[in-house]
Amino acid sequence: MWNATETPSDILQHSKMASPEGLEFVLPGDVIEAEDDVDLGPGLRRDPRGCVVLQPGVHRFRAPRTHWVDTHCRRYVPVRGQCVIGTVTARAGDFFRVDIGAHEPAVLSYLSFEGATKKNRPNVQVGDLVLARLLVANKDMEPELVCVNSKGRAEGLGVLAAEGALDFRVPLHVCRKVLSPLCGLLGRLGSELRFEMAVGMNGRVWARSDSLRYTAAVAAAICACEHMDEQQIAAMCRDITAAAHQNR
Amino acid sequence: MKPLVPSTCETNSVVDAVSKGTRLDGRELLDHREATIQFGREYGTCQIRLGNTRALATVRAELGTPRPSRPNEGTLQVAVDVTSTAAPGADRSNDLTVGLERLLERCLRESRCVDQESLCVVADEKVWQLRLHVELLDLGGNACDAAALAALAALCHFRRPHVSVTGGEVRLCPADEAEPVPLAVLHKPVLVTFAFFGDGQHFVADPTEIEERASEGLLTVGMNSYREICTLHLTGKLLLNKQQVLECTELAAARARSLTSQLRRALTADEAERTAIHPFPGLARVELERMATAAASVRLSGAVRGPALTAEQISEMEKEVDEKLSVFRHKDMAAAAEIGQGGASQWGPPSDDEEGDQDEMWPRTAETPAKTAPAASDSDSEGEQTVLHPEDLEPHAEPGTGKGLRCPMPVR
Repeated sequence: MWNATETPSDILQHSKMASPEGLEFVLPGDVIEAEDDVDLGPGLRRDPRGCVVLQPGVHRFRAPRTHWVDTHCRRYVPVRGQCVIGTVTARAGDFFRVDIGAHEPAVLSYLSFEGATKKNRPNVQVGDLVLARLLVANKDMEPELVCVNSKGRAEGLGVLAAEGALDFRVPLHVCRKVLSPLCGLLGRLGSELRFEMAVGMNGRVWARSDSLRYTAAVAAAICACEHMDEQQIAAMCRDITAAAHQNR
Repeated sequence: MKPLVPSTCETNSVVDAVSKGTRLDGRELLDHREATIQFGREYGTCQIRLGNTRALATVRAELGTPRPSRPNEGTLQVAVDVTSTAAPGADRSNDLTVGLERLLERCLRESRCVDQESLCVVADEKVWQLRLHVELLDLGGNACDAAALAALAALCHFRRPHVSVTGGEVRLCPADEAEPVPLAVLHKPVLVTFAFFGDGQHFVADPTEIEERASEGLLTVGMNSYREICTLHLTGKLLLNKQQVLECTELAAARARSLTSQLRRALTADEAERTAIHPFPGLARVELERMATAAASVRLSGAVRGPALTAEQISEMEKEVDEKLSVFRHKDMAAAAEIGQGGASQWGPPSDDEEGDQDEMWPRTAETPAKTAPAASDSDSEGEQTVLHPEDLEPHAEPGTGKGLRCPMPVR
């Protein structure tokens, strides 16, 4: 920080050398070498210059032709079809306003619950948590949520109970990591503790266990696994479950 | 943007945990998170991290006219901003920023923490106007405390340019002529926040954002290390009795003492780091930097111009620059900011006669010829200031003659 002769590109050079093998750090404005017919994921855009990076992070590639940039971010951009957890902030006539952390509060119609009719309204209060799927999600309209699938079944969607449960926020990549089959966190925790949880792709997680102590342990494990690899996750799960079982 | 409505789940879990005497992040009810203080390159910038909360404070000073009601005092203005990464869609001015601005003004300005009379240059005409800007980079709970500590640290760290007043003319001295002057901070007030639950029965210190949202009210105590209450601020729908307030102020006193001592250590460490890199503060620092960049540009220009400059020419130019630099790299110099050139200490023991008190800051030595008076660079007197030049310094002063320079002891 004090060295007057070190330029920003020197500093970036040091960080590149310090990074593990095979990780390519990119900054917004960089151009990536890619053929014409590739699939571009989040963080990349096609430009006259080529494939331009929009967000800082790690450039990843999956054969045969998918490129994307892994970014650390906490702000959610709604995508149709994703499951999110939201807080009901208001009841407005025939629908609820649900805050999912997007640019606008989302709407959830009261008929979008399993078994709901005009006479049989669902029991949803202001302040409740709902797990819902995004039906409409684009930057021009307010997002719309539903708590049923196309056949009218809930399949786990709906209101999440409040007693004995914890609701917390994590960065977006942690949600994806926890749900990915390659990450052994849930399996390891599940073999020691008994709990249920719901992960929203908007960075919110709901977890419930036998008591607040175990729930807090699950929450701590999920928050802590952000930068850990498999071995560290295994060690961390052991420590956390041991601490949770102790001092009952 | 409307404030986030906390979900019933969140509120219940926090209230549940607190009533059982635990907290969701594993701390004890009255445990504070550790604060990390990081100073920036410029004088007067400071970043504070308190768990997930981050605040960045910057102090700027410019000369201006004083307020008509206070013609002898400088001014201090506070502005608070929340960055868009901290709170997406936040307006420029909402409850949080406006409330925090007012609270910081009360804590720092109205408690007279900075001596505003010392900021006066010419009464009625020119005073220093300080602008304190606090950015909340991340909101992880207790933004009040982080912002207040950042503001205080920035004020303690800041150096303003030295001003010389000759006749009616006010002149800003650049950094290589006269060392920038720190502000006169009379005491160091910090804010300590407590969140109340269960109708005032339980309270926690240093709440996280979930705890803040779920609480019934917040009590912020502004306190300095002398156990003086600088400000008290109560928000939310809460009624407290005297006992609870006194209890909180006791805890705040302990926290204020530990924070101010941590701040003092951080300031000393920062000063030591700066002097280690630039052993000749003020006088030669700008010169050195200019030389260093000149040396670098010599090498660079050699590479850019290619065959126009031969290798010998480049090495000759480098030698020239090195020679100039070597004037400042004297072997006998210690790393500390000494301007005198070696020899025994010229500070005599304090004399026993009646005038000993008066001179305890300026220990007397043997009869000294009237050398250029080392007017303390950190006191702004209205008289003429003399500027010291390298040619005035005599190397290898003999002890006892009083030649060479005496480094004035800064007033603490």
